[in-house]
Amino acid sequence: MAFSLKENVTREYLKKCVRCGQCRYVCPVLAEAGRESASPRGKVYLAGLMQSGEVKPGPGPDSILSLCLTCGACTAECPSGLPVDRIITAARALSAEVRPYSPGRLIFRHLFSSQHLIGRIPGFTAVLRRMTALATGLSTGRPARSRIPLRCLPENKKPLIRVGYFLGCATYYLLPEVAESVVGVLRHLGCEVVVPPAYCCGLPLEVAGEADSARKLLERNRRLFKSFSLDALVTDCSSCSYHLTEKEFGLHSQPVYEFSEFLVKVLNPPVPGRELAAAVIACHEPCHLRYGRKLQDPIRQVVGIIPGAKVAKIPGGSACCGGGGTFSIRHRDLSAGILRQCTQRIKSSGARMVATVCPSCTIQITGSLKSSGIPVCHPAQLIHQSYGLTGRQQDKNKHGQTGKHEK
Amino acid sequence: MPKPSRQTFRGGFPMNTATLLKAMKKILDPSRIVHGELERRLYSYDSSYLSVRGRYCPDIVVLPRSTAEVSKIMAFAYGNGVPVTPRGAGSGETCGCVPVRGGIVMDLSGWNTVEEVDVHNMQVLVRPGVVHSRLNDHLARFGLFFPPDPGSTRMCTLGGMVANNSSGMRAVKYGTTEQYVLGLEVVLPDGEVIVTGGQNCRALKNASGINLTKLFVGSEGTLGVITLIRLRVWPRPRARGIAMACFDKLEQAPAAVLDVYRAGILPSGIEILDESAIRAVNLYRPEINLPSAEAILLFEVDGNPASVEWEGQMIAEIMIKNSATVEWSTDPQRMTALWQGRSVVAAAASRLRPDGTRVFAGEDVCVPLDRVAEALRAIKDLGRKYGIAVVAYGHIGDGNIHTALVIDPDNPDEVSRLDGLVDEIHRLAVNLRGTTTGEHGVGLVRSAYSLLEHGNALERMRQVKGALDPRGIMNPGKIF
Repeated sequence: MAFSLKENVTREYLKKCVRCGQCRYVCPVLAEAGRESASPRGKVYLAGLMQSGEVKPGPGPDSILSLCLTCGACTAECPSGLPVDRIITAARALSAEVRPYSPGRLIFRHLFSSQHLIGRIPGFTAVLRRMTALATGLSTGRPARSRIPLRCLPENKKPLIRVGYFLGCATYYLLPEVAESVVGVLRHLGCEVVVPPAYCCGLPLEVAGEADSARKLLERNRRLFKSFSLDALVTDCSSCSYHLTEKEFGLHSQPVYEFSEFLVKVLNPPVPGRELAAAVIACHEPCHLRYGRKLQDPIRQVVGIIPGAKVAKIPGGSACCGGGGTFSIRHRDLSAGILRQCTQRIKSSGARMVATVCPSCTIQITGSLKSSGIPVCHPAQLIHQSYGLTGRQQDKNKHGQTGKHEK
Repeated sequence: MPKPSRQTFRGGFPMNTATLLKAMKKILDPSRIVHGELERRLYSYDSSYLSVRGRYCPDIVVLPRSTAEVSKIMAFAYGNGVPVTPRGAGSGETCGCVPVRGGIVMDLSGWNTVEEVDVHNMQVLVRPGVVHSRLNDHLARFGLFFPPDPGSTRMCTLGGMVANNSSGMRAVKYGTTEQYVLGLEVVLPDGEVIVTGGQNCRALKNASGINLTKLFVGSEGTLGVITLIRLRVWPRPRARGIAMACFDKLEQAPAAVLDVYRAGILPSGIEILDESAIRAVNLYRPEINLPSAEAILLFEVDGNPASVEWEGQMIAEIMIKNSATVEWSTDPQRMTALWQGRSVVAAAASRLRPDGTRVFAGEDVCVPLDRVAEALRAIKDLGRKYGIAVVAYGHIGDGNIHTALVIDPDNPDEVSRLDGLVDEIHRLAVNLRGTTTGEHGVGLVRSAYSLLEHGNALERMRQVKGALDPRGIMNPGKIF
């Protein structure tokens, strides 16, 4: 279904808002900003004015609409059933139509839509990693693609299931160790893992209002993954998994799973042998996992099977990390405030480690907890370690590589 | 953007955002002033339907965080005759926080600190922006709670609750907000700060002087700005249970409620959902799975475990005698689901009609207990007469009936029929010796009925208002 402020269907949604204000209760941006323009209700009202033509798209509405992390908490809360985050995204798309082309906009768009080309620019990945390391202290190795082949046979050579690994941009460039762990664990559990050179899932572009570019990326990915005969798609990123599921990327023949969800729902992994020493782990559930996918505790369930791991209860539950794509760049102070709330809760849980399934959360929280010495990792890394896979030589033969690829 | 109809405020101060901005910048940090045209428009509404039909845009919005700041703003406004409209979460249903004469809107929702929990003296001091359910979450750590329980618990602020004398689902046993307000810090229209209920008082009772606290409770921001609230809190009951009774006929429900009272039982809440409200709840939260019936009564009882169990059984017996089927639950999950289901009907009613929405208009009448059945029947008949779907639910235990009217706001014919229906509902309530509003307040939406309800007492109200706010700058256009 098209979801645009130009479509009547959205008008039906918009008029359902009774401005009750229940969305205010859960909005992390409003809690920090304290003004109505930051509230989901305010932005839905504005979208209504834009749709009726009373307010013209432009920089004014743009700046208000940018005050949203598209975390989806308001959508989950809304008694009238409004898809609030989608309405805001649709309003942004309307604004983007009249937004003049600027170098910044072109760079942003191509950073995601032509990333497979940009990634080849000499030094690009090194600069990206360096910038991230400076901002957050997260130091990572070379991009994942240089370490993971196109096809990896399971360890026992007899695949139970053929899995497509949707390797998202942030993991690819900034968290390659996570990708290695994901592939390692899936292989260990009997999966043949195919890692096509996926394009960006399109979510960053979509939430920025660049709906056309996002749609094109989705189609390119669809064509790419269609050429492989896969039983399921797995991604290590909750946001990719949310976006792909929302867009019915895989449908029934190739359902899309987030990694920990896949382990819990499909693979039912055996209890690993190695104990994690004194690991008190807080499981941070990203917004797109909780509100978008409506999955409550797959991370906890995966971490729970690891011997020695004790799951720390985060008081009040996981809070938004304040990342939200470009939100953390455009509204640095607000993002920092939201992140502070999030990490304060984590610290008060007594955890010595955080497990999460979103690269954006990982980067945000790592930066904030740097001084506390609390590392942030993906559950795949923990279970990889606990299965005793870490440190094994992962040469091409062991992976059973059968193809070449480039991102 | 609607054009302003006036050039100056009553005091001769030029009515434009630029001049107000200049003045406010001398008092507040610029980050706590909202002056952009679009942003100001987002302060033109509350939940009422009237607020989106009119275009009541403030000239400037301020976000003060201290009594001193509020006092300076008020002194400026008073000196220059600029209207001031205090605002909490904007979850009201009467245009109460909507600036119908422009001027300054004071958004107090971000001033949300619980200043002190005085456990020994069973009271708490809060700033006006604290959201009701957050206060109760905070108090739970001390084994305490603030009993009034509005359906808007996750939205409404304490400042708004005091200003509107809100209540909600537990008013049957625990009463309304006014019974819990021990004292207030109020900034008067001229900027003077007063403390009601005794300057340094921490007593739970106070018979000293004219009760100014009660004067400000329910004054809807027309007398001053509430900046600190001293609330009485109660120990949390040790046990709780909910009996759900389903009736084949709507009229059977009010009679069953009276039978419970006659048996000497005072539940903490008695709520009614009509057939359409039941459907709305099931559409919003299918997991609650309410049975289909023409009416459902939810009785909440609380207290010690033995009395809760006894009262629950007694209510069940009475309901069965009244031809109802009963589910009795003390399971915390089920109770939370049922209670939440009831609290969200207000907005969830929109789900009943794909092309329609629930509008807040004529939604809060309160009638004597012995006229509830009559009122319910008459309201349903009026809905049929005007061809508008009416979802009835509410606090039947104290005769407070909420009527969710579901219309298509894009259909002008339906909108004009709505006006007729709303007028008749309000007049019906007064004719049945009730009131047009049990807990939501008057604001702009019901000010037309003030004379009908209060007669010459309305003039005396105006005199009180005039004594405290001679320049008429506080929330003008409301109540009177």
